[in-house]
Amino acid sequence: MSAARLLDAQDLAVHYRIGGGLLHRGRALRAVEEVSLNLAAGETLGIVGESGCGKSTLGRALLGLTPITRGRVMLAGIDLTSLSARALRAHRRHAQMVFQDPLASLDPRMTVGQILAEPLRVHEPSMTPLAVRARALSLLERVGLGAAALNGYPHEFSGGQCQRIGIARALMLRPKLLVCDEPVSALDVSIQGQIVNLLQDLQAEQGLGLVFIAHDLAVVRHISHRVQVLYLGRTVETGPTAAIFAAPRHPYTRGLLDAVPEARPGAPLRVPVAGDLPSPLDPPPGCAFHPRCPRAQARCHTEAPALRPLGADRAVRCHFPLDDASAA
Amino acid sequence: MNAAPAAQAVPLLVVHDLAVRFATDSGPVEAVREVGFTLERGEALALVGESGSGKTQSAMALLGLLADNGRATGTATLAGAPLLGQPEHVLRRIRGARIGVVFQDPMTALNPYLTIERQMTETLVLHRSRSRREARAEALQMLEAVRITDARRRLDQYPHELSGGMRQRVMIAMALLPRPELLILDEPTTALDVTVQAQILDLLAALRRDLGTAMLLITHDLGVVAAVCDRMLVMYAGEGVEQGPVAELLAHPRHPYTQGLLASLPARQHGARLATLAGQPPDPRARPPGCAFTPRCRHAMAVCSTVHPAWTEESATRGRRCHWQPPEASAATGEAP
Ligand SMILES: Nc1ncnc2c1ncn2[C@@H]1O[C@H](COP(=O)(O)OP(=O)(O)OP(=O)(O)O)[C@@H](O)[C@H]1O
Ligand SMILES: [Mg+2]
Repeated sequence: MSAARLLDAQDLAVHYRIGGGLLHRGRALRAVEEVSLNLAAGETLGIVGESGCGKSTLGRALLGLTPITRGRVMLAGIDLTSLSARALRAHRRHAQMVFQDPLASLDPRMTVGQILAEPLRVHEPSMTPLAVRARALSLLERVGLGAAALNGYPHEFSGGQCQRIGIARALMLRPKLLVCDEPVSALDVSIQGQIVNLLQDLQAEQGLGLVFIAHDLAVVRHISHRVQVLYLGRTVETGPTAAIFAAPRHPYTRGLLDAVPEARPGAPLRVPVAGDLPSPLDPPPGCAFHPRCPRAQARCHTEAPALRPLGADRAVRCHFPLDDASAA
Repeated sequence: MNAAPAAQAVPLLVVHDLAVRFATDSGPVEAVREVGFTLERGEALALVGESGSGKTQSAMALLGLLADNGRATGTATLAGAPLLGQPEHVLRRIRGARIGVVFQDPMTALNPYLTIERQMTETLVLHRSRSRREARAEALQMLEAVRITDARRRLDQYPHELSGGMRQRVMIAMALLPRPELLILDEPTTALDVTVQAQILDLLAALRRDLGTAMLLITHDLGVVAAVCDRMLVMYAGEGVEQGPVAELLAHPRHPYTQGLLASLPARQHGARLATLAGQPPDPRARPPGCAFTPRCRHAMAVCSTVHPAWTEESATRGRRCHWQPPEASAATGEAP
């Protein structure tokens, strides 16, 4: 909770009301529950988990883009939940988002120049058009697109180029934090690496903090310093990337790693996690993972495990965590 | 050898010089050209390549399902009988009985207003003169074969009541109902989470084992290829660029594109920076005259930008479209070091 931290979220919960109407309140969908995380400048935190586990909701909550049901988010030393709507909008400039679908996130009727200028129009209305253009040009250059791109429209660019434009737009306000929600999932492998390298270079140059939400574990492993694994809205494991990948302690983390088919001759085909993700509207009692867990015991059916620290920098939410040796 | 030798000798699917052209407002687009491959009975072949490389349109051409502005040329035969260019009523019968198809997004392929039973049994009742009861029994049996939990209850449910993984199992069960000789799967696991993808891949491997159905599997994921397929054809900009047994290609790629693709897989890398293939594929409307990969190729020579390389069978099992000759060490195809 030190003031030096760029981002510090404590006990965050985001619930959505589903159904409901005049007569009844409907049910609460607990999209994010009891999530805490923090990030220093220049650091990357990878957030992984299956679709529907609350990754995107968490990302939006970190930027104050979605109402928080409980908990608080400190961004650059200021509690977002304490801000008025207006002050929140102003403060949000420090944190920007990069989206999964690069083309869909760019307004098709605007030129790239207009798209890049848009955030400045809102946040720095006094900047002269010339200065705006200069910043847009230098960022386009930086993300590997030339000045010619300024006058083009989004549909004239490939997926990878659109993602570069999305990154340039996110950087126009010189933010301290980028939340990237599946930024390379829609791109071909040969293009993914170009974008990942770009993000890493920008981070090194500008000391950006990155929250990198993705389901592709190989990319997360490459870019993240620390990893946080979510299951049905809750953190089930967190720790330094190398340690988590070398010896996951939660059976779900282990399962996620083992489920990825390897592009290697003779690689074994493994089915480590059975069944489907349960509905977040109707989470299983006890440990939410127990119906799919190969290690579940009676206690797991009834008693929800707490997130317990394992040494200084790791934590796991499991009654029967894997030990270091068995996972090695 | 109990089957008739004549039937054994003819491969299940032979595709030769396949091309697909689309008429568009901005001129003709050649989405597929000079694609050829052979699929034996019971074999699984992967069509691999990046977005826009022509994988889906190649399959659509074979199925007679191209968009109205598309036209296919070349030849394709199914068990020796012509496939390409057959009239629609013939193709419809082939699609309903001999070739099953599974698409990426089961939600768009399933009718949201019909129960799973109705979707599955409609063709059996209409075209195969089964009674409703017989058809239901067959559908149930097939749902069990694709390992759907609670199969009996699923028959009475609607698509939106099922998870993505279950819907994909239903699609596979539907495609298998008429016991087709060939199953075409277009990115069958791309929309699924890794945990569920692993379950479906395991199912496909088991179906190959148990039913002996031949598969043409379209994917951009080389991990998926390694899990299910025997051979693969790598496509780039609408063309086949390299073909061979999966294990050999993954261990000893010989085309610079296959090499670059494998080298850029994040899972294969440990360095601080990811190795990448610079640039991007050509616009299909403005294809360069020589080899389409030239601008991104680290081995490009003068001839590559002017002369279109021909497909060459380099051994009994491997073929390639490239002017560059890999050095001898890696030219020893297939043998693990
Ligand atoms: N109806 C159409 N009219 C014009 N061009 C088309 C049409 N359908 C497809 N194309 C073009 O054909 C090319 C090949 O497309 P195809 O769908 O086969 O690629 P793919 O390899 O399956 O890619 P993906 O991995 O994205 O599914 C693309 O350039 C595409 O834009
Ligand atoms: Mg496709």
